[in-house]
Amino acid sequence: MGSHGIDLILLTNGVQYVVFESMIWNLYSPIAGHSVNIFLLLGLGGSVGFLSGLSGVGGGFLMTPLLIMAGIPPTVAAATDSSQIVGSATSGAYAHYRMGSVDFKMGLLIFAGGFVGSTVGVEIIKFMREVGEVDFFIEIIYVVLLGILGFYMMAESVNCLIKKKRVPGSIEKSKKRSFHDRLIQILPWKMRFDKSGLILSPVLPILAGCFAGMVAAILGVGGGFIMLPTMCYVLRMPMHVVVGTNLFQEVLVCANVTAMQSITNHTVDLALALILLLGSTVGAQFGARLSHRVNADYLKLVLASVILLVMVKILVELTFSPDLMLGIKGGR
Amino acid sequence: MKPRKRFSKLVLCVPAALFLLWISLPLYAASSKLLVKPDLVRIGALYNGTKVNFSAEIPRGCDAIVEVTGGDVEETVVQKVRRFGLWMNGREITVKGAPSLYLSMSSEPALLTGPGVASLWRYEALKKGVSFSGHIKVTENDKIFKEFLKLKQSLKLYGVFPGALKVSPSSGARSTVRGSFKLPSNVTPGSYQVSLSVIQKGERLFRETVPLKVVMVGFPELVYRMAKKHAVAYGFLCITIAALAGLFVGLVFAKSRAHKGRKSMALK
Repeated sequence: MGSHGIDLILLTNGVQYVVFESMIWNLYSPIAGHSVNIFLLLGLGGSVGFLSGLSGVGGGFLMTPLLIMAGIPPTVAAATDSSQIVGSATSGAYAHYRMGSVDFKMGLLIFAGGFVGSTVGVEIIKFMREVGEVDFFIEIIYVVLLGILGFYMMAESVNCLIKKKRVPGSIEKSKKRSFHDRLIQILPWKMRFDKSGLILSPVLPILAGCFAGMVAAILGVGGGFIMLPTMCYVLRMPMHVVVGTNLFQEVLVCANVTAMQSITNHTVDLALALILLLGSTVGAQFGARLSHRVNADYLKLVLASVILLVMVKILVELTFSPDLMLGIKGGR
Repeated sequence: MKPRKRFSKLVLCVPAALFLLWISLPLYAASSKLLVKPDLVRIGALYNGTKVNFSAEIPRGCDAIVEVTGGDVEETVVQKVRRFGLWMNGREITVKGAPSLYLSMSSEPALLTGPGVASLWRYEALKKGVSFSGHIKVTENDKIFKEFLKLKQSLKLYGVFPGALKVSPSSGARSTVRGSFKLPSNVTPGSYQVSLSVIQKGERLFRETVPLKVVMVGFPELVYRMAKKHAVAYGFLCITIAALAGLFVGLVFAKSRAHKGRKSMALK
């Protein structure tokens, strides 16, 4: 029972601090149906943005599980995060556009696939909601993806740190024609991509966009952690256009996901998205500034540890006996 | 009229009036006038639940129980089951007759905790009206009801607070009962009831109920209405605002970077 408007009494080293209700700023989310502390949202946005700016990896895949941990229902967290990514990706894509490092043709093709993929993803969410398994579905996909990503990043950074200690010049390059090269030759309707300097079939970027779009819709992420390696290793795009093109397609895919989630599931919370956007864009700027001063491999190691911690937390919740044996159908 | 006749009428009327007054006194003593402040709760942008105060006058020597209830809703819950070593949702159970909100407070703790008290209040009263349907056995009802209470308590929508009411003597043969409760932040807009039961020797003397309304106002109401009723327009609005906000932040940081770049060039 609340009394005298006092919400919390904190005791630190014998000093008593009284925190009044009026001092705690909360934002009421009409879509989630309850309130969340504004500073917590700004902190989450800022931390994820900071890590994202520090490591160069988009933070969408980290933001949704953190929002779930903060008490936001998974469906609202995923849909709102998509809306937030529209803002942060627009900011980044604009910066890359000014530098001339966006391949619009490739971006639009990836988006064509992403449009189909994200529409299918939203329908999957709708179906899982009706079946009553949406929370479990989102959480288990996160465990798998964060697990793969976290272990991969950790292994890569540890590998790089070990290699740096060895004598350079021991790297061997294979001159053999790979399966990938043969696949690119076989695929039809080849097109020229001037910005990327490639001649490529549109099938590959469309398929890659489709998969990334589906994951983006289900998890509320930008899909960058799928698209960046795909662009580098599958589409063989040059590094200077990869980040800008990915951000451009993220804007389009996440805009589609936001519209679809809003129309189909009514789960986008604009107010929540704007607070997160404010935190993440500011955090990303500070992260980007610090990234020039710190060893990139150590940064990757830190990010991989955070990702694995989040994954373990979700896995523990799924494995150990829950406190509540009943749950509201379709999420909270 | 003759004075004698008038006198005889007065002789009859005065005792009748006194009799009426005598029989109405206990009724007055039994009335309470429950006051709830605020009786209209507005859910605004910074809403985080709200404290609602109430007071009432009750006959001296009586105890009081205050219950806050929301309308009955039909909802579907899912039971957790363990499959392949992971906890996931299993069978569905439809719950009928359970109020959306139930908070109960008493002046005497034993009224809500002690054994053998009348089951007109507490969770036992709710149990009578709640029914479960789905693939469940009748023998499971008690267990499911307990789990349902745990779920609602975890959401802060159900709660029992023994001894939370304060009773102090007031004028005449009456006492004032005061208390407060916190409407949780996840309460849904709608009509609620605050009921006061006056208890004497374990029996309910009378019950008084006043309405409590919860409405969404301002920005949350606008967002909610748009999201539910104009979903297409809302979706495009979200995209436009997010994109413009992102663009604005991008421009601000690009300008500050350019400014710093010029400054460092000048220093060189």
